[in-house]
Amino acid sequence: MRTRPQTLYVGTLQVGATPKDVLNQAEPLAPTFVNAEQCRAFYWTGVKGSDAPIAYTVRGGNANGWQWSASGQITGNARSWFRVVIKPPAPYNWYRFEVSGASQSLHSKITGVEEVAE
Amino acid sequence: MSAERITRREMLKRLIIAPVGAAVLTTLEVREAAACQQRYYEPYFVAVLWEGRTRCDSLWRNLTGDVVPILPTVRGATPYDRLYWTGYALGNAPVNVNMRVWARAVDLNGMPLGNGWRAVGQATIQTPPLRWFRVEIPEGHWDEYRIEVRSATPRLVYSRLIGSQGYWKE
Repeated sequence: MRTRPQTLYVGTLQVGATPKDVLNQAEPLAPTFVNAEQCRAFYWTGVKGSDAPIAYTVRGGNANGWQWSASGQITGNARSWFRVVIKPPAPYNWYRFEVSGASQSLHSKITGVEEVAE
Repeated sequence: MSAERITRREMLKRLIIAPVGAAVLTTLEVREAAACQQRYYEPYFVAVLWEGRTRCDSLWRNLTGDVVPILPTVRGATPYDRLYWTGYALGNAPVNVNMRVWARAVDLNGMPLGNGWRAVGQATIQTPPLRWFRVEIPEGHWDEYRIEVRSATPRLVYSRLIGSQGYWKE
């Protein structure tokens, strides 16, 4: 199997205390990406708007619910770059990239690295 | 003192088999010197992303020679898991060159997501004259990289930047 990067998301989100995904969906069951079973890694990069840390949770699952999650914090000064690498333990069809924290903008990009047959 | 007359081909062969000096990016996790020796990573595709010579002086210069901080050394590096920078410096004096690596992501139009760069790492390359050096840049999948070099003594550095894609056996 070979790998192929694919840009899954580029955008700006206004982060707030309420957890929302990068598509601005507050509904906790709503996926950010579907049909993502081929992705073996996600590279989430971008620039944060203020000094306050941003809490993130990445969930993997399917239409029956979330089966895996990973959490952490995006830290750094205002307008500094960040990078989060997510490698799920198993392939999932659905993923949700959720953030919360002090009010600030988050300009970011998510690249999925897919496994493709040779 | 005896002189030896050798062909250009023979000289190249001797340069190639000379020991390699490796520099490690100080702010990053140290990895194995050669990707092929790593149990869990096997490159299946490598590409030369940049190749050329750089005149190093006391300014931080891009490998392409500019001192304009917004310009990248390479674009379109998203597919590559890792980057390797190899080269050597001309001259009979020992090499003492500082280098640093920056990276950034761009949107679908090729515009950077933010100002400035993310500092990936920095290193000092110290080798005897005419010895090859090699630096591994493990933070892959950034869209653009800028590699800067600086030397207190002006040097001419010949180098090549390689991107690799590989199988992961984690």
